[in-house]
Amino acid sequence: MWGNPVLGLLGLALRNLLRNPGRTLAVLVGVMVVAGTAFAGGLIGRGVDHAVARGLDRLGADLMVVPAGAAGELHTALVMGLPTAFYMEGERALAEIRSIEGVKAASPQIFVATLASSACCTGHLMLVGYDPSTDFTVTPWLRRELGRELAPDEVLVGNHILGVTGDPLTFYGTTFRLGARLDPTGMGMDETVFLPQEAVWKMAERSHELAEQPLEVPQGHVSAILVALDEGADAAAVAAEIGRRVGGVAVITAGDVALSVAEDLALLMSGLVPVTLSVLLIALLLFVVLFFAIARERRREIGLLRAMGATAGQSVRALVLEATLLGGLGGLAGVTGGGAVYGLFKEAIMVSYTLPFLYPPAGEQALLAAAVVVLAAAGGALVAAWPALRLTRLEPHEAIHAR
Amino acid sequence: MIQLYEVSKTYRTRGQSVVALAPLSGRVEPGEFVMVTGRSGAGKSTLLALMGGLTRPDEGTVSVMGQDLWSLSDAERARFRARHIGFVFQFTSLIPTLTVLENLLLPASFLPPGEGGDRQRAMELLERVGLAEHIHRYPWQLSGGQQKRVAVARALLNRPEVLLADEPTADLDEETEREVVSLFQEENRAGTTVVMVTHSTELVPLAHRHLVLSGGRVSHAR
Amino acid sequence: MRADASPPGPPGLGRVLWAQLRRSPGHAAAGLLAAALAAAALVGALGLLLAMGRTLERGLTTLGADMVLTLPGHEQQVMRWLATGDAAPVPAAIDAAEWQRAIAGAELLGVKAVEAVDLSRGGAGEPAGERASVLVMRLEFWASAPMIRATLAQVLPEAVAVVGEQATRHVLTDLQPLVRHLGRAAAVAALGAALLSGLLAAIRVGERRAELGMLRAMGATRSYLLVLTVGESVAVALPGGLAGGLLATVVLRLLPATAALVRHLGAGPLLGLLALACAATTAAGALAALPPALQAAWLDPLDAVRRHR
Repeated sequence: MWGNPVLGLLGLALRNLLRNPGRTLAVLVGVMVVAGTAFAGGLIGRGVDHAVARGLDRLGADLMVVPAGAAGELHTALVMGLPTAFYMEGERALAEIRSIEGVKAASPQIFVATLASSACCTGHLMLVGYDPSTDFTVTPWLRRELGRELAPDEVLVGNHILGVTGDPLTFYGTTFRLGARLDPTGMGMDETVFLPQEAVWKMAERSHELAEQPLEVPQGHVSAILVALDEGADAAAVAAEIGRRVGGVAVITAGDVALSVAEDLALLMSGLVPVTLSVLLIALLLFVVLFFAIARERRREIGLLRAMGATAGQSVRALVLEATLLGGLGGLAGVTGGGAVYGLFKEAIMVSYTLPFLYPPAGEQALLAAAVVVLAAAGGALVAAWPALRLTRLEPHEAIHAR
Repeated sequence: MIQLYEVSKTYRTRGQSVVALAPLSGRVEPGEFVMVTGRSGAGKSTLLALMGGLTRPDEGTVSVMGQDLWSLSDAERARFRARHIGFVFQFTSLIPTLTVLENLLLPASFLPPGEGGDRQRAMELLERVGLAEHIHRYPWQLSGGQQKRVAVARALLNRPEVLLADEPTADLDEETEREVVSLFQEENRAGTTVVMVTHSTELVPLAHRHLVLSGGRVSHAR
Repeated sequence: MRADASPPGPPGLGRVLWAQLRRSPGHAAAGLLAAALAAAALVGALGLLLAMGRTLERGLTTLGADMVLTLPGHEQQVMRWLATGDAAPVPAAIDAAEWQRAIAGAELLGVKAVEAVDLSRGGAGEPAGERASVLVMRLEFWASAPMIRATLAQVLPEAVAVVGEQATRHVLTDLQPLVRHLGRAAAVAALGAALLSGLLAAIRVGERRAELGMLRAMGATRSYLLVLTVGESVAVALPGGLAGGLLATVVLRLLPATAALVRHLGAGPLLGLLALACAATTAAGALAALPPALQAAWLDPLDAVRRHR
């Protein structure tokens, strides 16, 4: 019939499964749900890791100094891009920080939350004014990708902001042009607009006449100071020193951010894992019930095969193959479905748990999917082995003449 | 009683078509006893199923007692079967968790109360097959032959005008086989039309007419 | 062997259904258990959710307080007091007169009344004299609690303001994880029960094809077979759901952690919830059994009887 005997067997197994579509479907759905949740869980885990790595790498800063009490808001801004604005005295703090041993560079940033009606995007956006002379976050990228500095009316946007190069963007009454777009990071940076701090101050000045609401940016104040450390410097020690020398600030290390994200992730997982486990149990139960029934149906055939000289394993081969196929198909469907459903609800899930997310490289995703499918197929085979083997323990005579 | 006109049936499975019956016409007169023999796969069971309205012909019409079976709705056809046709199959298909009596009375539950056979009729039939004292037993407590006799009695409960039997004696020993066939003969003498499919050619002389099916066609009819 | 107790007439659909149920006691037990678990989880989750909602409403209306001022460190007790009307003792360390003066001086818009309450003996509290544990503020419906709180932060920096809604929600957050877990468990259990019901129905139909075909030959209509198959699932899911739901109700009432909360709910809504959970599990089981039932009803009788072996 088929040239390839394996394909022929698989085809046969598939036809057997389809002979009774109702029960096949019931079990398939169960496997799908397990595979889907497992895949989604794995995807989330890897995705969060990936985003944090990329995001912190792009940020370039080892420490961030913000006004005391603003650490939480900074975290959500960093991770989710939720606009926030707070200010502290900048010049003295910068001078102090630069003088600390281990500090390679310190650069100030000003945060501004735009008005809702920014004419380009829905909702509020986060604007970040950077100091072009000392910045080490976006300037290297600009130099590399754009080859130049931003023009006075140009802005650099995060990956998720809509628009094409040259599009106009209006903030607080001043219109800028979209100069360039950053690569995706999965973190807050994707929702942020970067521009030189000069531009921010000018914008604030003009906002009194041009904008619906005026923007007040106290001169000499900054929102955050990003600190890059020398090789081998102890982040915790420098952070402590900064805290001591500059009063009224909170110092956040990149490690802190990663840790905080890890905690939030653990929270999500603590909810997801029990669900996955319970659905796994249900799928296992369904599988066992189904294959006990199938085994009973095939009793006579299996008895005949044994009578003809097949070993126990050989006689139940078809059965186990069906189980493997069912598991594999369910796994495949689950991975596809789970991935799709996750894609749809990604925003909602990630926002409610304050988690960054970036799709891991395609290869990793494929590997994860393959792992889930293989596990599902193998699991199916293992589970069906129990009723199958019980069946082979019957004497061939009993099997043939049963019922 | 039964009239087939240019009836044909083809089974389509897995991309292959098997012609079970080539276009066939024929009649079974009221009160006839017809035996149908032939090799396996010749279409005997299909013929019986068509006669009883169990399966739809691809072409042609099937009439029983003048009623075109396939002009009826499914529910009407079911009712028709309950009232006028009794079936006996090779596999008895008694419901294991109902008693012998309840199994026997089952056909009556598909007719409005009073129209089908009643308890009295059931007891009569059980007496005739010699199983009267087993009425409260369950099928698994009876031998294969006894179960078959219950199935035959069940087919007769509603006093059907037509009795269709598909290899009813296949699993039985000689003695029981004789008993079952003589039951059929009794019914036939009382006026029931009987069509029986069988492998046992030695039973053939007991019938009025003998149909041989081969490859979906009638090859011989006495 | 039974005595001559069989009913006189032919076995009706119900009798046949019961006979079918008895054939596969294992199936019936599995279905029953699954339905019970699903219903129990549903009742638990929904019951707690409803009870929490009620408590929230009650807390806000019975207390009639929108904001409570207290000293730092006592927020937890105050929140408990706001939510349940019952608190651990809070020392009366506030100079009531001074605070009330400050509030009056701030000329806040929308403050209806200010009351000084003494909670040093715990419980529901008593009107305070010179020294109070908390200051209860009642606001007009149009007043903005956050704005008032912000203003008060400047006028009375030593005070901590607890907003009513926050409090009840905060107290209930203890239960929130439980509700979340139960909610998830309910969803999973319901899915599992439905799938199991469908699977078992499909298996049954597969095993009994010969008899089903025979029934059709005898004159059973398609709807008869449909009702027979789905009916078996329903006959199992209904009592299972009922049992599970009842069990969950009883547990909710008895468990100390949830009893107080559930008392707020009252017998009426709880019974309604029970009925709902039972109906839901039964419906799920019935729906899942529908495809195999349809398959059974549309069997070609000849096929079923012949190909079965």
